[in-house]
Amino acid sequence: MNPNSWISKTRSELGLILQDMQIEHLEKNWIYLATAMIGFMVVILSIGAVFLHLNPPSHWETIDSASLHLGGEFAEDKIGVQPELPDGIIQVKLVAARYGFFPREIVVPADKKIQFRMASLDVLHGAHIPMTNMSTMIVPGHISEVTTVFPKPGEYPLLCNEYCGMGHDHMWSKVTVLSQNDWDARKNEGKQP
Amino acid sequence: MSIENQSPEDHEPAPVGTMVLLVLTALGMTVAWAFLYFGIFLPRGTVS
Repeated sequence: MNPNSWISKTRSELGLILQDMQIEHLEKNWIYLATAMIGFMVVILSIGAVFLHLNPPSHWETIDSASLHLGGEFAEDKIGVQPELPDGIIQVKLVAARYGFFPREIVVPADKKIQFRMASLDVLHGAHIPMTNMSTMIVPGHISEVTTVFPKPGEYPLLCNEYCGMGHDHMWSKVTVLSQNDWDARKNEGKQP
Repeated sequence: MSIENQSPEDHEPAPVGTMVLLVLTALGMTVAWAFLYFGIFLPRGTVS
């Protein structure tokens, strides 16, 4: 490398600065410990992301929000819990509008992959089910898709957590998570989609 | 003696008690993070 190049000069200047720096022992040790802590967390998250597919939802799909109700995937008669897909995933199609999620009540099984596909009819909304990891924004013109598993049966509210107008604080719907036995019983009664 | 005039040999090692507190704090924070991640976040259901 050319010793007169800007890279060489920068490296030699940095080396001199580091050599001159006299960092207190405590400060040095804390730097090492903090770096080790961050490194540990990054390794754990990376292993989860690469091998266990644990990653933040990332989905990009557009749709015409103004004509959702006219037909297509989010027409009024097509929203709600869908029949189980061949790969075992249960799709739930929801429309977020001021001020509710439609359909207003959904029933899903526990311990099964649930794929939420949500679209907004009007403005920016958020969808959050407390005590679970289902939380995302619903942006007009886009479909939000989140796949999650509900380990614990029970009744959960589905809340809007993105200010959308005067009725935002009343915008919520209900999600009922059934145990496998109850889900099968419901299936036998013919109430399954 | 100001820090600018000190050489590396002049630095005294840190007191043992301070080092112990340092390590305990770091361990505590790491354990707390691990508890939140493995004990609360993951049991609430994987998300992708």
